[in-house]
Amino acid sequence: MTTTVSAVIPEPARSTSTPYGGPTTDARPEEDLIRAEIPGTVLEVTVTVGDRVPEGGVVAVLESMKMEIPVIAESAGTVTRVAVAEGWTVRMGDVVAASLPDGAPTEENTAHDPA
Amino acid sequence: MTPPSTTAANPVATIPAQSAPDRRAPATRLARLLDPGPPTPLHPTDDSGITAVAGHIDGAEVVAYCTDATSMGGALGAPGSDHIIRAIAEAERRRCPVVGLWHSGGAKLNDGVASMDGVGRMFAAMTRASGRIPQISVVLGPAAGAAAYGPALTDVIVMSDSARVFITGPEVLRSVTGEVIDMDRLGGPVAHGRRSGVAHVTTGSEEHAFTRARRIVGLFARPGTYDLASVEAEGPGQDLRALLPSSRRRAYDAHVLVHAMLDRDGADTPVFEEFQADWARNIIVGIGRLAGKTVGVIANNPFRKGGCLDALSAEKAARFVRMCDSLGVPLVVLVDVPGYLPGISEEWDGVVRRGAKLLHAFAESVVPRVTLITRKAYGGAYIAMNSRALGATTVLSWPEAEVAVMGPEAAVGILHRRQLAASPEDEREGLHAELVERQRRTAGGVERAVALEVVDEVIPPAETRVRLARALAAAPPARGHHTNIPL
Repeated sequence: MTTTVSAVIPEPARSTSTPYGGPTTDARPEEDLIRAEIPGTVLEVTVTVGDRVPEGGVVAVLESMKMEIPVIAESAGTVTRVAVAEGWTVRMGDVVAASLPDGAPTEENTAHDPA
Repeated sequence: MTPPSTTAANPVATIPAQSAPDRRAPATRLARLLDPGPPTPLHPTDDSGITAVAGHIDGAEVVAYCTDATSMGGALGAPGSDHIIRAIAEAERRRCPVVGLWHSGGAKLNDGVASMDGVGRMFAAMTRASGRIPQISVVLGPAAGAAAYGPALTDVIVMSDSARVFITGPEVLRSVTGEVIDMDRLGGPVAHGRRSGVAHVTTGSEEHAFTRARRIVGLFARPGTYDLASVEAEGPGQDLRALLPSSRRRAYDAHVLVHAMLDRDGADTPVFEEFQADWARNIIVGIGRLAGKTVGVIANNPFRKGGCLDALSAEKAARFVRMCDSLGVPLVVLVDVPGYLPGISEEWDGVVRRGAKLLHAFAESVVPRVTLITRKAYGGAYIAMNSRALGATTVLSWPEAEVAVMGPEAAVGILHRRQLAASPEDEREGLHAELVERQRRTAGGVERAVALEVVDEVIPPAETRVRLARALAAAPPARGHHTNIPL
């Protein structure tokens, strides 16, 4: 099975004291990009590649405005990549994760039950 | 026959094609909107493309009109517009809601300027009626051009899954701008439910759209009267604060709070019709029932953007405030707001201009409007969320809520920056915590707000329903004398 899912590794060229989560440019067309709605620091990543998330499911928790704010998946699907790690700073709109919505055609559907 | 979709509430009945009435015919659609029984026609049958009737929804009087999608795609000419204008006038005369069922390609091309003139006069009639009677639009198919601005001038727009609303359609787009997009993505329920905020309610099937429209009309047509005895007889209520996370920093979905606060129907479902649920989700707006009375509810939603106010959410709330004020619907404002969302894009998107709409809307509003601060209200956002200064009827608060210019950590970071920097590193965290605690006590605690009389009373969370109802019921009813301009 070809590995088209990947966890993004921090790029050394952009390393500063706080690494930034950048927008991923090589998203597959059928993937949903789950973006931060608010700038903040990643407190916790709550999913890993391959996890199923329901619509409204939390993929990460950001700290912002002195609050713990969830990053929410808009549609049910399977996580195909995680673009950030704990401690990373994200800007509004930065991609936090990507998922393949349920029902999208893929060879990897065999790995999980389409519940 | 295609099998029923899984989202349909009712199974599709298989009727032989030749005997099926066209489900797009005005008579059919009006019959599904209104209570059973023949409605009263407001004009003789003609080929104007519009049918306007007087009828009932849940026993309450309404006026309704429907475009004839079976003829020329529902195109609107001057005679049809005149029917709509007279229907609106009839609704004003009867002081009842008017519902428009829309499925129309817009103004009738063949009639040229005459049809555009008719449509324009229809827009003027909708505007004159705005804020005087509730106007609800149910879009059931394509509603383009003039047929888009009609609903746009009304108070509430419901879109079924077949609704497509746009000014310029895919064909013209392709030839003029080169953009290629289908009608659904351009102007369907997802486009207008999520991106533009044009749709207040998006539904599945047409049947769903009628069901939702009926519920919304019912809340407006029967505003009810306060039944305090019934709320008080409920006895000790649920501790609503227990619905929130124990950590003050943790976000939660404020829908839980809204639902717990409102009356429930026979099926134990909260009576709440949310508007624009998928747009500007950091604020929740919708109409519901509290102690038997139709009320408008506004609530910051910490689950989205921490509940921050921003340009879009301020605009969404401002329009809702003005709709309720103009129609005499009292307001309940649930506040848990950390501030305005910072960002260049916010500034360039006009948070100054659009945020001012919310300040204006509340300050202008005369309906009874009660605020409940649940966890916190900081800074400019505190002012904007129906504060005492903007003329709130009553401001209540839960214990340990914070009302301050900014949160204690942020304040300490500014006020005591030098002291903290000068302190020995191993003591800094302890000093910081102590300063934060002192700041919270002296500056931000709700006791100070009570002393300043910007909060009227601290209430036990379990008494939320009854205290909100009492505060609203005690206020003299009032209604704003302005239109509901589509902000």
